[in-house]
Amino acid sequence: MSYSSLGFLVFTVITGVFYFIIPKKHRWAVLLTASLTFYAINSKFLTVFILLSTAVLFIFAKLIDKQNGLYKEQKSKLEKSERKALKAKTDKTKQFYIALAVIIDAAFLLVLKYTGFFMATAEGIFSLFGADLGIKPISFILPLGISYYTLTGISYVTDVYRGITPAEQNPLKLLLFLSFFPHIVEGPFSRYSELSPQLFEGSSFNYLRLKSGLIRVLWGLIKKIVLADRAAFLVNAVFDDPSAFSGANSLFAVLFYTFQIYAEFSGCMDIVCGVSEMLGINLSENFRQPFFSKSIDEFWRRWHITLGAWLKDYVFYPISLSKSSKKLSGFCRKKLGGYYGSLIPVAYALFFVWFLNGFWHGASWKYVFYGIYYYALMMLGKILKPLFDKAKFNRDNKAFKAFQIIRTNLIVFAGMLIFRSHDLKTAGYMFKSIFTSFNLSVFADGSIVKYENFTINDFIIVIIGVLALLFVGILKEKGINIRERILERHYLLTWVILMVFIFTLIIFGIYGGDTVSTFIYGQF
Amino acid sequence: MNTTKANDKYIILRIIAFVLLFFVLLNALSIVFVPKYKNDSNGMVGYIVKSYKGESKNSIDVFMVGNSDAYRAFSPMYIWGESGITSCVSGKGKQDAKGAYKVLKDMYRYQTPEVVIVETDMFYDILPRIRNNSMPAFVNKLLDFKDFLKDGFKDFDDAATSGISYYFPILKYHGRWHEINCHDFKNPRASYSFDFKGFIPDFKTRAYTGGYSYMSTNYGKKDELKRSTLKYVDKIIKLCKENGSTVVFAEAPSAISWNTARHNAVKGLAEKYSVDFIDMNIEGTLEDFNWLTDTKDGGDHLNTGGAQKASRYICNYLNTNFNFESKKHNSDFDSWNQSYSKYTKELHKNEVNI
Repeated sequence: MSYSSLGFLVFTVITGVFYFIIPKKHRWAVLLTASLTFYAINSKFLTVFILLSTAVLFIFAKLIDKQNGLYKEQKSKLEKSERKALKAKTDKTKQFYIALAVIIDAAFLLVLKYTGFFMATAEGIFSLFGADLGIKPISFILPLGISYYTLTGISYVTDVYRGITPAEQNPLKLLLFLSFFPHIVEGPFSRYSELSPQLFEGSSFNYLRLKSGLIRVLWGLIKKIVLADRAAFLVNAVFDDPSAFSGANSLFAVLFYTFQIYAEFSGCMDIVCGVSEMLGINLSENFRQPFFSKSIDEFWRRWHITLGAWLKDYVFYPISLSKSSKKLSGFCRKKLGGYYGSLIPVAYALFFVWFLNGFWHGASWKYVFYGIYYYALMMLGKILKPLFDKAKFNRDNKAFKAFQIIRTNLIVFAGMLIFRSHDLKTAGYMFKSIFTSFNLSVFADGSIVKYENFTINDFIIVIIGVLALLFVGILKEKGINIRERILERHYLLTWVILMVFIFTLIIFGIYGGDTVSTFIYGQF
Repeated sequence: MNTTKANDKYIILRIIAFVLLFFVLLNALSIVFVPKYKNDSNGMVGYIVKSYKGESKNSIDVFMVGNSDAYRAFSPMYIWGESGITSCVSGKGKQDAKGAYKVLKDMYRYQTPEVVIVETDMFYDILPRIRNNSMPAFVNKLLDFKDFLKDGFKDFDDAATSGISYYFPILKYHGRWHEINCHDFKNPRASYSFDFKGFIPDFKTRAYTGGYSYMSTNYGKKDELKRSTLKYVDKIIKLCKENGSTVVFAEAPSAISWNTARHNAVKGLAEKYSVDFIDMNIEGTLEDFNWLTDTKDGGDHLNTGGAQKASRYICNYLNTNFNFESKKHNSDFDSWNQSYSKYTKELHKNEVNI
């Protein structure tokens, strides 16, 4: 049941009705029932994996929390040296528990998602030495949202370890936090301390919030069903057989794919955040106009924000603060001093961040390369920074800012080419064709916008969509809350906007027939 | 924001007004979006039920009425191709006897068929009330619910979209947005003819693996019809007789909705009214029929391959029991030959034997 399906619409309405008619203190049970139903419909018997993960996290978080409690209870009664010894002992026990929790939780993900990849890699390495292991890589059916709930679970147990949040005492509530149906498929990654009070306390019906959430859901559906699914026809045609097209087609396909994935992923976030808003729950934002970024660093602070934040808090900081990193830092500062001395330990920690970013997206070297691509460019920028800083010119100048935005977008387009291609070889072929076989005649004969199920009419719709998203993006960049502005006006304006959105979906949406609409990020 | 009771009422009224306005607009746009082609082989969703309207007055020899089983199983184009008999189907999802009676009343305003085939699946609810008498009722209900969980959600969007399309065809024809012009604003209802005469082909295959086992229980039992259904069956029989039509009961193969208890009950009804009853669920009735290849959705409805076999049986039955004259060479029916050509092309394209 996709978020953009009629089934999900019915499911959401039923959940909403039950949620608001049941007494407030039991509303979390409605969300749990709905989330488990949603999960079971989509994953059937594989639901067992999220139950197992929940059990593991629940037990270890409680054990860690117990250690935190014991330490707190005893520390005031102890001398400084005894307190230090107790802290060391407690930390060691806690480290043992968290290591076990993370290993077991991540093992489900690693085995189910990456076994085939590891086997194929082993086979490839041995074949380099002439040995044929005869391994046939196996692949498992993945439980819904395993990449999301695994990381969310790790953040929960880590937060308990760090004392940011106490351990949940009710396993069913923890299960709700992990499986909450709007964020289980594509995120956003939620923090227990932020989401759990909203989930467990229950909220009252609010008409204004209902309208605001509905506008957001419909806007998200337009992005997904009208724009992304339409752009997908062009993108799939070219990426499925790039050799049949010219470099110009490849360039168009890359640009359309970038638009497709943005419209789809941010559209999905609009749907899930809108649904949650109607239920009185605020999920974290995952996008903030990424294509207005002036650098790659900034782009990743605006694109898939919660993944970046997760990697920063649960990979970058632990590595930066690890003993090995501290040793490296000390050594580099002594040998290199100043800027470069402090850059190397950052580079060391960032390597893991970007490797995991790529690897999390999929069990393929293509995704690892995708992560390393950004890492390399980011590090190049940091290495050259002192040189650029020496150059004297006005950095506040509009033309320079525009140049920075264009440069960032070009880097992103190249990244998207790697991300969407079947493999690195195909990505290389397409990249090369953009420069070596850019056939202008495809513009003259119109074949640049003619593909199976895609015509000039669809092209026009996508372009209108690009302009609409650009316009909305500019308003948001200026700090204008569009929905708030609409809702402040006469209610008839809200009606008109809702009607326009609904009929845009009905008339211009890609649905019906054999159309099966899935979300790209749902695969990860 | 806490709202007072007065505010609540105001909000509810606004929501109701919004929903009503939405449906008014949806209906208006549906009329605009329905194609205005003379022949639309793709069917016309809600309009297809009234395919008899699009044919020349009193030109139909055989009329078939029923629920979705009817428009999936009986192919007028097959019958035309084999015998030159003109027929059309009026099938509507979840249609019941009362609905069929209304359709027949309307149909007689346009047509005077010699034979009316009444598809009997519509006499019953969707799921069989008796799955297996050796099991307690709650077990059967659980099994039905299990099936619903297994397949219901998977097909929900498909079924819901096509269900809503009956009433609001814009859902089916929204892709026409780029060809809408002022002619589309004229009401097209009366002027349609359909190449497949009410039959809706479906080339998907989802096997039913139980063979004819669904007919192997409940011997001697009857799944009695509801009183309201019996009342309308009686009305249907009388209406057809008044208009000079011979009624035939027919049940298309359906492993999901049919069983022996239903067969027994309908057989009793057919005997009471002295009408023929063709039950294609009896093993051996349909030549070469195979549940693994001839159903589109795991035994509930036939695909086009299955429909060809069911229609072959109906065609033979009509030729054996009635004296229809072939109209194949009658120039008034040239459009039927053109439609048949489209039909065969469609079957060839989807690798279904003619």
